[in-house]
Amino acid sequence: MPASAEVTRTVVLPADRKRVWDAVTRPAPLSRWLGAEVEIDLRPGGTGTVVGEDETVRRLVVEEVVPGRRLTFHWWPADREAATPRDAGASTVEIGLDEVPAGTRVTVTETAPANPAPAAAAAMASDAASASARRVLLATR
Amino acid sequence: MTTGDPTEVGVVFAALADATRRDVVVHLSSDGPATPTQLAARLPVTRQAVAKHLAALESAGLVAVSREGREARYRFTPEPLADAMSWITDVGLQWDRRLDALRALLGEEAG
Repeated sequence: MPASAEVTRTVVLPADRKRVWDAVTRPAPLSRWLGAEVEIDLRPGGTGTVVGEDETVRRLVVEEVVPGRRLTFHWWPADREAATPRDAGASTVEIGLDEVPAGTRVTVTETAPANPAPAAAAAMASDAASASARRVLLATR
Repeated sequence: MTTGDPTEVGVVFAALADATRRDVVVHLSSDGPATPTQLAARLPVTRQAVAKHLAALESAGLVAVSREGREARYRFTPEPLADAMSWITDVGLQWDRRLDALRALLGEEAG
């Protein structure tokens, strides 16, 4: 069992790495596969929006751009109001490209945060506190 | 929890990344509720270590505690694990769909 919740998918696409890199970083092609409408400011710290086919809206922040090789970003549902991606419980997506004889291997990994954000931790702690309170109440009844 | 909320999913996996904590969960799920003393008798760890692991599992929502006499009795609560598994499944299906669309897009451009 992995130490963190992560999902990995690998596909080999019959296209050279440059074409695939364009498709995974430019808003126009991204809006054809990552979501229905994608905006992205492709630089570390750059922000973006992904409107899904199902009309869910996600915010994203770019973590790392290694041209032609790797794009890493954090994303989270836009309806979650939080000061930082971490507070919003953002998951991390890494898209890596490698040249292989048949074209380009694309490896996508999405990882859930391994530690609760402060806000989520507080909510969980208060759940735990109310659970303890209930136990005390039941025990003293 | 919804599949759009990966925080608790991550917490569940972090809790289960430890082999002893997995053993504790296996014991509780197969043998039923137990006290830290009973668990320590079945596992190669001290009662204190078991108590620490149980606290970590409790904060991830994987065990629940009830008091019986002087000792706490813990039971396995599987819901967070089911939520974590459905996050894995749902996120995987979403990427399958997206990568199919990416493949179609690149095929289209080539042709």
